[in-house]
Amino acid sequence: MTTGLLIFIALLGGLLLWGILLYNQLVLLKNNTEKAWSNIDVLLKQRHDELPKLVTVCKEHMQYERETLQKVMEARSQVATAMNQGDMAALDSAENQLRIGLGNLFAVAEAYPELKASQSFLQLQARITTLEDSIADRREFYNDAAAINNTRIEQFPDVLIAQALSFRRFRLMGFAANETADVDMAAQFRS
Amino acid sequence: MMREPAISNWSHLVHNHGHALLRRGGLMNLAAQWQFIPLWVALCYAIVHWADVPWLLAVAQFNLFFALGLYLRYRLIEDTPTSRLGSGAQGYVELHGRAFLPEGEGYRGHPDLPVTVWLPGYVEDQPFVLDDGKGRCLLYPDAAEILTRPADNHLDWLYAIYPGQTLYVLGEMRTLAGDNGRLSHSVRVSELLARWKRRPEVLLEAYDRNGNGVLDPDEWEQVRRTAGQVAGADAQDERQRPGTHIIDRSATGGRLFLITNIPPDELAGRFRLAFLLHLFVWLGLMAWVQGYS
Repeated sequence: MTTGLLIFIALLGGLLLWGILLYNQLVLLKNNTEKAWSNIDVLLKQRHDELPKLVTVCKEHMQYERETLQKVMEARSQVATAMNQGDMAALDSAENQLRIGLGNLFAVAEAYPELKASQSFLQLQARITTLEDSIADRREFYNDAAAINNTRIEQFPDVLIAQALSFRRFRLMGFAANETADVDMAAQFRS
Repeated sequence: MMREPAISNWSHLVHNHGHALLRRGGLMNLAAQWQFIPLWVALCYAIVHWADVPWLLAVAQFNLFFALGLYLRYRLIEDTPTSRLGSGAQGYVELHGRAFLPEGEGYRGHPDLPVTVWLPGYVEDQPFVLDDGKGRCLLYPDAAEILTRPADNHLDWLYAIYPGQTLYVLGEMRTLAGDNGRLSHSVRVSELLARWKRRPEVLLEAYDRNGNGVLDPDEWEQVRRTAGQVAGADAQDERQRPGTHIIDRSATGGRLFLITNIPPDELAGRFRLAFLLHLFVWLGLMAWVQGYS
């Protein structure tokens, strides 16, 4: 076997190993993103289970706030439907509705001293607030993972493998306008 | 002025330390050190001198191996999302935080040196804590590649991890939750009742309302109801208790588990540069052999 042939085989082998490495990395990025999504899924399910308990406790004291409670439950079911359908756009919108609904619920609860003194309410409020914070964190984590995946599959030479083997982009989770807007300090002082 | 610690067995310490550093840092890290260059040049020179130039083809394949391994490490640092320990996103993640000894442990390391959480050659496999201010993760370093550089203190020869030092970690994180749903409500109630039955005098004092010395069916029903409430409250408490995040051998799944006190940007830059060097050496050696023949 000539030296030239050995070098040719070595170059070919190197190229092949390089391709395998890139492919494995793209698989890793895809799995990371899917895992990041399931991280959110777990918390959404936990919140889905906790919300009816909160509404039940609130119903005992807030007879005149049925509409507020109704909105929370509607948004909860919209979130569940969007999750089941994997519809990210609908999920963004439903999540936004739910956050607004919960914000209203906790604000209205201030007017009901008996409810504010209820141990069950306080526990559920703390639990749901903690879940909301964790969901926000994990949403950011998912967006990081998805953005890395999306960048890699468009970069050269990864794009060659990504297009040949149909690696797909992941949609980022949007932030609601009220989460990204500047804080209106004047309004804060007026209220 | 700081006093130099009195170390009685220097040679033993230095031998253990140096050996453990090479062993725990991994082959790829060794290939990314600048000291590797003269070693490699000497190897190539020896091969050309004692064997023949075409044998450099074999050496070149090692460069390819190092280039691919270093590129993999560079990409892992660049492409792994950061998990915050407060919410503890699971999976293959990167973590930033400070090292601490586990609760209840006051001292770890060599008796003549300052407290360390990890000291190669002495305390290599005991778990320690990573704290990012919002949560904590227990790291089991026995399966990890650990890259260290001396801290900014008077012991500028000691490669160790000290309490409070900032760390960067790559690995597969999982959480051992307080309640993983392993116990159903009925099992919890049964276990609770079994425990209460072991102290019948307490049960009688609390529930024997008619004082006849035995628990009648209606009194027993009250005991069961109370047990149900207590079990429910326990489960609720466990669900709300934060779980324990860990990265250990069982969770790595063959993937890189890296612990380092070197900033990730710097480490990624080092791996990238070393990758390019090895790649060029691979191509260069093959071109040399081709030209020679």
